[in-house]
Amino acid sequence: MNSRERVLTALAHEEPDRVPFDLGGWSSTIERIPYDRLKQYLGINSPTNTFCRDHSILEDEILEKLGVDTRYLHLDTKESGVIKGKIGQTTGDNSYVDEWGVRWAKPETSYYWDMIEHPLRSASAEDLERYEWPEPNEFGPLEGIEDQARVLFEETDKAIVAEPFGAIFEQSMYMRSFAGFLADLHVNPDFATRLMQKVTQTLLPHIEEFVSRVGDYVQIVDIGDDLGMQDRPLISPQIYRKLVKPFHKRVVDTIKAKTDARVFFHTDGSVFQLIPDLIDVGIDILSPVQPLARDMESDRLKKMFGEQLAFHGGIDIQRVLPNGTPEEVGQEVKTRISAFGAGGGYIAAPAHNIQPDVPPENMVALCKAVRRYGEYPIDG
Amino acid sequence: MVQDHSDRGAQDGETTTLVGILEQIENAIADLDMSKTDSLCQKALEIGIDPYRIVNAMSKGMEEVGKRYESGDYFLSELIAASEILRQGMKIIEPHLSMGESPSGGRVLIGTVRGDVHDIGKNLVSTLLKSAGFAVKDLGNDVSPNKFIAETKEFKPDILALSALLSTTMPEMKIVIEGLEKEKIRTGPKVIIGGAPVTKGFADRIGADAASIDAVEGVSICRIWMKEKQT
Repeated sequence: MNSRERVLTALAHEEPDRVPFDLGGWSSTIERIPYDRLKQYLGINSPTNTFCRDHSILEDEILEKLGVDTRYLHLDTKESGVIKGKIGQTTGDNSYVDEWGVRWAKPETSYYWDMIEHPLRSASAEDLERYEWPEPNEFGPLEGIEDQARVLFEETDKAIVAEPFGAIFEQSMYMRSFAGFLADLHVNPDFATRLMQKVTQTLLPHIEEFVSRVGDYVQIVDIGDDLGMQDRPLISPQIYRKLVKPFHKRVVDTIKAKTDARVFFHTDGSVFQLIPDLIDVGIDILSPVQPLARDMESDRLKKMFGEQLAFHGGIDIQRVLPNGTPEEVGQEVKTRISAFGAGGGYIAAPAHNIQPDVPPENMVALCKAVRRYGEYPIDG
Repeated sequence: MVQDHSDRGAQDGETTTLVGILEQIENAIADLDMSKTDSLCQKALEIGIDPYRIVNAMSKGMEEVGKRYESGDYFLSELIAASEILRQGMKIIEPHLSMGESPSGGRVLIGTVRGDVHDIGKNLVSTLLKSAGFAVKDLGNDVSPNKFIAETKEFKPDILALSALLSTTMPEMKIVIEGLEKEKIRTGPKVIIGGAPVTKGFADRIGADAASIDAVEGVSICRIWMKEKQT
């Protein structure tokens, strides 16, 4: 069984030869600093490229070595904003403005880029209409992406993943500020809805064109919208249902009209209360099922939603991967595979991008453990 | 649960009782009704209710919001909306508060530590503390240890509140506390730390006096400390 068959079998909720393994996506890659450390540890000397901020593009040589069953179609976002002169260059204060007009900065002692200016922070309803929204080609050039997809499809036996940008709720927070948009949902719901409409109108042509071009070659379309905190969703199921869900439905319907690929939906945190609605929206794969978030116990999720959803992720990145020993990492992988693996429907992966606090020994232990404990039949 | 008296004002018209209007303000905040909160605050001022009693009613409304959050009935968006409603209401009341009277709660110096620009939780704590009667000096985000120490000397807070969202910026909290010790002012303020990654164990290890898991808990800890100090 090759990698693509392994992934497709798992996503059909059947047991492949072993649990498929993913690394390399928007929310399953290795950040630049730990990736460089891993390469040094493995004796590989090559420059690291990133596809967005510090998210590394993992090289084939490493993906092969680590036993990864997927390959990603990355858009060259670094080039895209340069078209309009908006991004690609940082200013003296180590900040830049992205294609949406959001300014990001990296404090001197931080590993992370964070938003420091939100263009619609004090906008009125009229300002929303006047705002210069990005053009679809600003999310990365799509010309030729179908050829990249075809080559990956024909020349590898991996499962191919496309990642159009599709975060309506998150992007609305980025535009308005997190607190501003969350308050809008209650005190100014018409504005919140109009903002999400504008973001959706901006993104749908990009999503539609991306998926139309690559839909025949990809097995998974990865979208996401962070809805969870550590102990509960950011918003109530009622607010989700009333205000946000219709936009997610439009995105998923647009994707499904253009491809048979499975829809993968990323949301961090505790989202147990929203899962029935996400299923209703039409998602096929829920990621990253963050194991330490409240109500997200792996075995309960599998029991309650395992027939309707496949799961991706699950391997704890908050405690075990950064702080555990390689043996504890192995144990963690075993725990998640036991919880999620039976009957297929699981792609093993860390519960988010691997951060600078994860030692290379633990990354290697993670990959080895997926192979070691992932052979079917799984001990449940 | 706060009882819903929202119809009382309409029924009684101009004869709305003082207690009735304050309860309505409390309920309007708890139920996240911004326009009602604003108009009731305006009305309460017009009929001559002591502005401090109006602030107190809003504060009780926020306490109810906090309770609903703790019980899981409210989510982060409700908590933030309530603090926005409170902020708007305070704008109406503030010009009527006499400058001479100082808040009774105590003094809090608050900020997000160096390397971290996340401030939603910190801002929420700051607003909730103000509504609970604390005098709050907010240093913003990405605040260096030296700044925290200099401001502690200057502002002389009862409580120093440090916030971090990232596990990678948490060690900054320890540096601030070490700085207080070095400057021999650690016994001045109580130190509370907050933010997604902090735990009680971490607070113990770095010598903080408390860790709070969310804004509501943080404010209740500050309240308890001030009560202890005053008795």
